[in-house]
Amino acid sequence: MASEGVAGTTYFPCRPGCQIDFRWGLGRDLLLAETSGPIQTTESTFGGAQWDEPSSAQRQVAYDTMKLHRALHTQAMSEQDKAARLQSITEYSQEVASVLLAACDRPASTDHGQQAVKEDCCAWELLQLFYLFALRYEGSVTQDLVMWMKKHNSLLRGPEGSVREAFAELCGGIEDEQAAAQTLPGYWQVIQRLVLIGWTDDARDLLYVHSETQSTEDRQSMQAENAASHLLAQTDALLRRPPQVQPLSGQHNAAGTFLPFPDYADARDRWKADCLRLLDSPHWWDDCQAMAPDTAQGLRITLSIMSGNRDEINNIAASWLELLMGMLLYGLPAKAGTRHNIGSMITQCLNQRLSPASPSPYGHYLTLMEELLPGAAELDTAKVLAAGSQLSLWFKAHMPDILTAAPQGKSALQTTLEHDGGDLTEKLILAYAHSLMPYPTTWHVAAAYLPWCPCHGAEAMEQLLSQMPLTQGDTRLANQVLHECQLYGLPQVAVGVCRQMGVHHWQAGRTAAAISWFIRGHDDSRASEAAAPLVRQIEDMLANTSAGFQPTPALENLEGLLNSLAPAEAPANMAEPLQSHQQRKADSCLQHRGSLGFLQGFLKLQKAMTCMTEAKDHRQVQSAAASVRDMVMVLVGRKAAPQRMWLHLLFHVIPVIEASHPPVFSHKDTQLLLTRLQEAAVWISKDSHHQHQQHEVMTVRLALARIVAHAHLNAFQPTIAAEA
Amino acid sequence: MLAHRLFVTGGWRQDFRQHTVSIADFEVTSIPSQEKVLNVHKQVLTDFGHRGRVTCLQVKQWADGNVMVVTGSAQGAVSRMRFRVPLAPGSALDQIQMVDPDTDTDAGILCRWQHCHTDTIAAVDINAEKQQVLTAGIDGQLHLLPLDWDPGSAASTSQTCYSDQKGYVSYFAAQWSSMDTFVTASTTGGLQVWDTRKRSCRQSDLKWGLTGAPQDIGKGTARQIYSVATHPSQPDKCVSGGSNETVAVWDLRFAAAPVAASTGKQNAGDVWQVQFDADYESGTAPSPPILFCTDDGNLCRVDWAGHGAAALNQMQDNEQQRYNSSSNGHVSDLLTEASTVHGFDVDGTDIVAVVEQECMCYIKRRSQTF
Repeated sequence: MASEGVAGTTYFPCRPGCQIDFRWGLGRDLLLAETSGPIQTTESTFGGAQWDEPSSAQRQVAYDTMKLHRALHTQAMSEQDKAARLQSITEYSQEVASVLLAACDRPASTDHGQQAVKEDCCAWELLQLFYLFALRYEGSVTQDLVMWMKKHNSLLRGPEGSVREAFAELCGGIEDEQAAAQTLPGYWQVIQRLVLIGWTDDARDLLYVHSETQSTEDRQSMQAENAASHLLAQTDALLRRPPQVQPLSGQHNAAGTFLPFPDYADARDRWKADCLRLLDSPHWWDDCQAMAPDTAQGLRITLSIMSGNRDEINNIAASWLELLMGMLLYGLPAKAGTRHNIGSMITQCLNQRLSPASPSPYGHYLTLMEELLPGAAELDTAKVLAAGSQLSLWFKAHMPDILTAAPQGKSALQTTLEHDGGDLTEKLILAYAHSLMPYPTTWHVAAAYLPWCPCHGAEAMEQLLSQMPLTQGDTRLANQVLHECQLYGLPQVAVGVCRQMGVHHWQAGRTAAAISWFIRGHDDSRASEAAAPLVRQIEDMLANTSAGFQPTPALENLEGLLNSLAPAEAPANMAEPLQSHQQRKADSCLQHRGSLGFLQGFLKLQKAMTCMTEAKDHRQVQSAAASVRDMVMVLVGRKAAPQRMWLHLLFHVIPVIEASHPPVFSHKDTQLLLTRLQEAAVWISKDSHHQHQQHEVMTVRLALARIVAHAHLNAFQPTIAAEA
Repeated sequence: MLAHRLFVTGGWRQDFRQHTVSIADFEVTSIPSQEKVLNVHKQVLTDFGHRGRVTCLQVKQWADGNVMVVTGSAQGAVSRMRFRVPLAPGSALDQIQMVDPDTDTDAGILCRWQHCHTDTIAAVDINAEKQQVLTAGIDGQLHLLPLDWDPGSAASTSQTCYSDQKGYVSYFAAQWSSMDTFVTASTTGGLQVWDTRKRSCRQSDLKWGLTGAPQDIGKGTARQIYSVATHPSQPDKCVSGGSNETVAVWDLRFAAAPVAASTGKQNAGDVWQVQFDADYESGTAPSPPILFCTDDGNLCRVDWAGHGAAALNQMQDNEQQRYNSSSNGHVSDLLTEASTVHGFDVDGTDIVAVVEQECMCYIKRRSQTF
């Protein structure tokens, strides 16, 4: 737990004599329980530890990039030529970058999460530049780097703080102080640093507040000019139109001053010559030196930087990154910024500033860039992966999408890992998905990433879906999980989910919901068990022979559920002898359904009995009696009802038997019922508790005997019977 | 034009690991003449912690500006909250007054009102005329709570219990259809209409299936109704939404099968909220159009009006719209998200929807009424 990479350790105090027991939860989730004895039957979880929890900004990024990631990988599965593939990766990376930027700007609840997104955004744009833009277009990356550094300046701070901080501090000082701006400490240094990294507009803003510039503004009409103001004006003029190369990312500036690379090289040489020419005018410099030595000194260094004086560049640069920018913009020829040369330039700058013996004194992120920037510039995938592994799990999982744009990257990422089975891309996505699993808001994002893990994804998905927290009985969540199970072909997990939901409702005494879930999970035996209390209720009602047949209202509520069982066989055709195999099939079906089969039949019987009592004419009586007969034949004849109920059932339908005319029970039906009655009588005689039921047996036997007599009469004298 | 749309949401805040009920506001800047929305800014006005998951929520506003919010939790407790909104046009948001529901003082809180169910409350609905709140739970109980019910009177919950099916029914949805009748959907299947005057219940014929869509008959218990909505002005009309994007419009007299029904493709998402759309041009359609949201991320509108070949051709050009051959309604998507749309509410042409990805969507439609 306290190993490297764990954000924080939580302490769980344990009572004396107790032990902490733990088990793994979902993804990066550890559940802890306090156990006091050696064997604890009911274990209560009292705490848990989670790490790499995504912050609100990170969750927003996760939601917004999920769709983009899925679209990119779905596209990759269709056949695409190389150019189209590169185009789709570029579009994807730009959309992701805009998502990251939006998340950086949104007000966040925690600084930590926002910081992680900012770091991801900075690294993402860097990879995008070298792996996508620089590979696709010829030209210089200089201007892209200037813009990148401007955007992420707060992260890329050296030991002396970032340029923007220094600039903001100075601006604050200028507003407060009454003294001339140039007398403020660090005034010239900030201007020089701004010029060095290419932020010429900000440098001009500072030159504008120089007291000499201000006074020139005031006395413009007098046309008189001193040396300092002349030099300031000339420097300002040079800074107003610095040669800027067209960025490879294809961005444009408002003024449209970006030059194509060949033109840029020429314009840059001319501009540097202009800077040198201004430096080489002793008349003005001498006057300025006499008048304002600080201004002369400051301007001289600024112009030296602009003209490409490497010593001055080295002196002013606060970090290796600023040194690199100064070198690319002024110190080295224009072609140093091209894809083929930039790698060695970065290495040179790093070597110049960092000695291998002493560790880097800079902030964490700039140290990371020491690896990432040269790695990206040289398209060295191993180096990029090593540096990227210090960033967030989101970044690690999405970084391969960009790296595969370069042929080197593709081969490195798709090599199967030894002892693992999957490749590196899969491993990174899997780690990211694991980090999203234990949270109610992000589990579905994890589920969306797992299909892209061909080797271990199915296993992880099964683990995720089977461990969803369904103990609260959240139907909606369970349905969502079942939906995912269906989508990814995990029928076993679906059965487990249905069982878990069913048991949850069963424990709480919700019979209907429990049966509904068990039926859904094809768990007939548990469904039957869940229905057992209702069967007992019916049994008690039937056993009370003195009260007559009383309908059970609870049973009617289950009608919808019982109807949704496998379609019942047609009882109307009972008069026709069933083929033996049909009979066997029907019997096994009913027995298999257990109490549900009984309830299904009994509900129909109950309905028919109610119809019988409510019947208004003979036709209705006959039709209800026919339904009663059908269900009696299913329940008793085909043994859908438990044997102990046969006698009671037959006893309760005697009034129906008696009331129908002509009798609805055929000779064959009655024979079968007599056999069943005999079986029931044998069962009763074995048990001394049921001795008092002997008279019921006699009554039923008598009623059945009367039917047999009627049937005989009908068979031999059909005309007489009809007249009667 | 600047407009404020006030709404109440119930949810889960991951950062604080807490269930909450919030009152929030959308400040909508629009140009009505161009039917253009320039900017929508969301601001949470107040936020209350809620004990247990918020499973249902109902907001009712009276003519005097009083608003009552009733929520149901996964533990079976009903909570309520009251506030007053200023009625004068141009009033500022800070003029919204929170009221303590018990003491009528200005200390607004979300207070636990009654713990009447033993498990998840599936639905709450306020009957403004009878001053009663209907609650339905998966424990099979229906309660009618008078709005002036005093939880401090130590009266037992049996006094408010209207019906208790002892677990042989689990309710999924319930709503008042008129002053004295309400409609429920449960594990029983179909719809039930309860009349509080006669204490009677009528059940839809189960031969129409559990969801009322003919395509769902024989699909087993996987097909259920999860949401119902009654028509605000036609007490006999009701729409149900259920598994697999199934929606059906019912005549609550149950003289015939559902007037219209539509079901989605295989493995489509469940419908957990459905409403009649008031914004439509009355024509020959058998029923007003309806809006529903699904668990697979769609907010859809179903139009029951007859549509010919011309409409079908037009649809092929527009990927957003699709025609389901198994339905007799025309389904169009208003919103497509990568994950669940948890709920929505509609007021005229404005729709606000809550999406699982911790975000809210505001949709302003072009009005169809002339």
